Amino acid sequence: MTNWLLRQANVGEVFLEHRGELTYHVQNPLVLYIGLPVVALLGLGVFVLQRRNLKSSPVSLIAALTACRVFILALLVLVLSGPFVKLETARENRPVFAIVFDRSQSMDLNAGPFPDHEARGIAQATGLHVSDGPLDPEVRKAINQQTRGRLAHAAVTAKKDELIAAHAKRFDLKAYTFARDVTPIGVDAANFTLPEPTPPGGPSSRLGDAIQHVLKEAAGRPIAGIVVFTDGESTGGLTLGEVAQNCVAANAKVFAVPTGAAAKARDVSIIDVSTSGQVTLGDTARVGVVFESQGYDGKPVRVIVRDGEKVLDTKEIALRSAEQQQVELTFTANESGPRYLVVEIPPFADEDHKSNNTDVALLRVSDEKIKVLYVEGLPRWDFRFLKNAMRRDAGLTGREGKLIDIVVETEWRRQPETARAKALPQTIEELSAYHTVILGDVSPKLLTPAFLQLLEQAVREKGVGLVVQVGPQAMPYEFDKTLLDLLPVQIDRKAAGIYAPAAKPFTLELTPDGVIHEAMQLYDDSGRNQAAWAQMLPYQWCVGAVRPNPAATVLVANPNVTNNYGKLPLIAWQPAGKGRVMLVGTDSTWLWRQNVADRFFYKFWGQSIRFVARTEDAGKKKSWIEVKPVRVQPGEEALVELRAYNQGGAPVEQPSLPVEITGPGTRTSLVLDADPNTKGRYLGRYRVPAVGDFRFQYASGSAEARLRVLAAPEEMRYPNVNRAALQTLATSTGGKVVELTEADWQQKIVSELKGEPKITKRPPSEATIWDNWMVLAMLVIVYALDVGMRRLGGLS
Amino acid sequence: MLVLAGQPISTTAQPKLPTTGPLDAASPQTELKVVQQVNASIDRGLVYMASKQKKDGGWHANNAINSLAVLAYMGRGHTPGRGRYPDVLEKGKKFILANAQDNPKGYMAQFGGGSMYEHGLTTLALAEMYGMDPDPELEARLRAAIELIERTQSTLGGWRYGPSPGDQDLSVTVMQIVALRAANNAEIPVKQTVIDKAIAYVKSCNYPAGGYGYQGAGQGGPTSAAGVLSLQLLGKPDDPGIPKTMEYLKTFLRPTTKEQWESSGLSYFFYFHYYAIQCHYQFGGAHWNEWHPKIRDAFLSRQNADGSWDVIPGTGEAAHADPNKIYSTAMACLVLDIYLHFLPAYQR
Repeated sequence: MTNWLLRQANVGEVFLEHRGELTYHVQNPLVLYIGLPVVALLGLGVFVLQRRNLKSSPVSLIAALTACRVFILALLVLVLSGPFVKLETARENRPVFAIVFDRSQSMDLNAGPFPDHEARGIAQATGLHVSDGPLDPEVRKAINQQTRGRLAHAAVTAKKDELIAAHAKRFDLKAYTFARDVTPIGVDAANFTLPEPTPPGGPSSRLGDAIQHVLKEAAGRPIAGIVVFTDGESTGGLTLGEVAQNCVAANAKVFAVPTGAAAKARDVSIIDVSTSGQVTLGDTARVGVVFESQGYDGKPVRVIVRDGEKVLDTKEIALRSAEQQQVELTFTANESGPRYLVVEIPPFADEDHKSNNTDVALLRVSDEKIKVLYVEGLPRWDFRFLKNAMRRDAGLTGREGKLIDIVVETEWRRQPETARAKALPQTIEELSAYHTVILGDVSPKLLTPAFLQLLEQAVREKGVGLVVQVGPQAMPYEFDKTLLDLLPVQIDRKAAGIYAPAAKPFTLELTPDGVIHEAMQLYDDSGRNQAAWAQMLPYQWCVGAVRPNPAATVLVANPNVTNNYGKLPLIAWQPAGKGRVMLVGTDSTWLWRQNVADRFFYKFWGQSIRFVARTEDAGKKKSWIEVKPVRVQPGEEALVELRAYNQGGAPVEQPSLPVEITGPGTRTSLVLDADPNTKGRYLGRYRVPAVGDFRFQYASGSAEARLRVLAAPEEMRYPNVNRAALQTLATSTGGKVVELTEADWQQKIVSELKGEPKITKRPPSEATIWDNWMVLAMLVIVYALDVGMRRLGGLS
Repeated sequence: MLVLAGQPISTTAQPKLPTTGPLDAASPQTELKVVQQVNASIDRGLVYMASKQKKDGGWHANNAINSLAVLAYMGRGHTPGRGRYPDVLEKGKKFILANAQDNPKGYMAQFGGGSMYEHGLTTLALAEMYGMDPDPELEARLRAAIELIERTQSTLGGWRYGPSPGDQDLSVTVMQIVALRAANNAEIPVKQTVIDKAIAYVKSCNYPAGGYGYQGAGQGGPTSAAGVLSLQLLGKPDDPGIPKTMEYLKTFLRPTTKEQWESSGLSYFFYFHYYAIQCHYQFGGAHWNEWHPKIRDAFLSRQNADGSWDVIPGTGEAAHADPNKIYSTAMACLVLDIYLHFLPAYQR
């Protein structure tokens, strides 16, 4: 009943939830104290007066009438006194104590081998009873061969009382597992039972993201400590350095518990495989292999690259454990299409981890060379690196010669007038012979309005690809609508770009579209790819973009410059008629060469040149379908793009179109939505469920694409427990590394957990309880009762 | 060799670089760690050189040293008008241009002396700056400098100290070749006849058993590294003389302790390593893999606390060393810059 009344009084849900803690007050008690006695006296006076004046009326009627009036007056006094309810709540604020378990693939590796004295400590840590004598061989074997994930589980379970239950009232326990994503574990601290661990299988370890998740979930509450049970490998997401800084800012200590032996495994591990990316049939393809080894100094190994069962090249190398080693393998590309090359170092018989002796790299072999025209203003560094890289790229050529066609404005302006006039293509046939045109920081003196109109026609009607790399001299600020309308972003022409403060240069941020875009794949593994982009050197200048066009896809943004439309688009593309146009909004891609030379720099450029390149389909009006990237890992998304034409060659105009997908144990349909900006273009995303080859078909195979889904090898690249990384992470947050081999390891954590529950009172909340319909209704009803009784009693 | 003014510099005890702890020491050097170490070391060197730049923008009365300093900054990714050192580069450029003789036309050596060493290195620095700096004077002076190199080539295809055709030696010649290559990379035309003659001259200095001589066929560490690099930059990386010379250069790869470093017997130590690391990088493969870790460690471990490097006492470089140690510091930075891949002239 009280609940109902309070609800009618509109006091708000929070008051109802804490009804037992409510107190009732009046704003003007004096009114109440004086008013009520006055009303009582008035009531007595009214009764006496009516008894004198209404002698024929029964006493009961007079009493009822008097009661009505007294009630009305009393109600008015009550309203005048301002009654309200007051809520004062107190909260027990317990510090968060988080336990985080690594469940990535590498946690399925053996925790051992432990030397004898450590094995004894591990046995005790995991609750095994061991006698004082030599360790039983079976026990030692079991300890060494249990997985890292199982070791963490057993250790926490064995010490749950000291580590968790004893502090159930002091801390708010949170438990999580992580691989690529973070998953909360529902646990009761007072009655702690750790669920059986799920089989490890996460394709990457995002330790930094997991700790960041704990900080975020704490939502500002104090954190007693974060305990991570992990092998220390973090293959993507936030770096450990970044998350350590965030922990310091949140005053959260990290306690790292390595879940494996300190001894380094005897192992040869392929760390990295890179390829030329794309080559043309008959070209020499290169495969770079970086590997490291432990325990095999001086021993020779063979590094093999093969396509299926066919060995393409092999080299013998003497192993050195001091440094990572590199080798380059070469072969002639004889088969077109995407080639999945297997790189292998045959394992030694006694290697501890054999799964990291093999890796796979993607090489695209095209049938046709791509014809490129490169027009630049000044010979800036990007130009000097890019033109040489393109000249070395056997898959690129010029319109007629063997090398790509280059026009540089600084040399062009020194030529005689007649030669200048012929420097660039003069007809649509000449220009559309190119697959891709790259425009650098060129001025309108070279790119005349006539040429730009020709270029627009070549892009829109012939499907010629265009890459525009901006610069502070002219591009694109000094150009008019013809060129600007082709670009995927709208440009602020008032300023020639944006300069970063010298001490705070710009960074770049891969967008979700960029993550899966073929031009942005520096590594085949998405975690490594994102990490590589995140670690690119900062730059000092970028294009003065306003916002992306509706049809544009932003691949990279500048997070340091924002406006009403969000982060500044830095690299973006859009379809323009039959062609594609990409804008590269910085002139400093040469910074991507740090330490790796052309590897990232030209991987981006080579892939971009090919992405925008004119395709033969662009002129044929035949349906085609593309799935990007061509290699993904299970659980990742792929972008599906369909260009649908009917039999007459006209774009299909439907709100959506289905695509059939078949793969290992999968037969499903994906509905693609129409791109409102481009007729006949349909887009959708597909999250691949499992490893294997997937086929995407439109209209019963009138267009088809394939996608290969591979397991991530990155988890096994560094099989040793990375104590150095954990040491850095823990100590930089004020925490420490705690070894399970230490006696009472759990006490070493518990003793450093900080914080106590605090009772915090919230500021009181108040709500009036008189200004509502019930008070008004009571007044009206009692007044009506009064009037009715008078009428019925024959009174005026 | 380079004309270096000033007093010999005494070497002092070298502070050890901070180690990263036993766990790191036991781990293989990963790419990231290498870059961090190298970047930190170069940055200290650049801070040191910035502190020694004079108000007029110069460091030295020799444009070769001024140009090495400017190149060291650009090698770390600092370009005109951008980043932490825009003033250092701008003032350095203006000093170089203002103090170049231009007599004969295009000659970049400073007033009152100089040589084609100075001209070659200065032309290289201007060529690297060109394109990142739209200064029309820079372009005009660079073009004139390139034309001077072309017209002062000897009949045999080399260059010598003076800005006129006549005699030649490999040491001066390689400086001009690097400058020509940088200009050519910036699309400034270089006559093919000049290139062909330069190739012929360099090859004439090749010793059959491997190595290159100072004037004619012979052997010697610095000239051999310079000879290999010349052919690589001139588009002849597959020249049959190169593999033998790379084997010969292995004899200069010593352990990296300070004592062993100082007893290396190289009279022009920094000069040698400036070319040697470049030619090893260009050659690649096992030679590069074997060469660069030891050289990197040697240079990193010898840096002074103030960011500078000392020349080795008793060497030819010490006899000409500048008191501010700009030559040795800039050269050391340029050796380490090879890892960063920023200078276009360093690219394969």
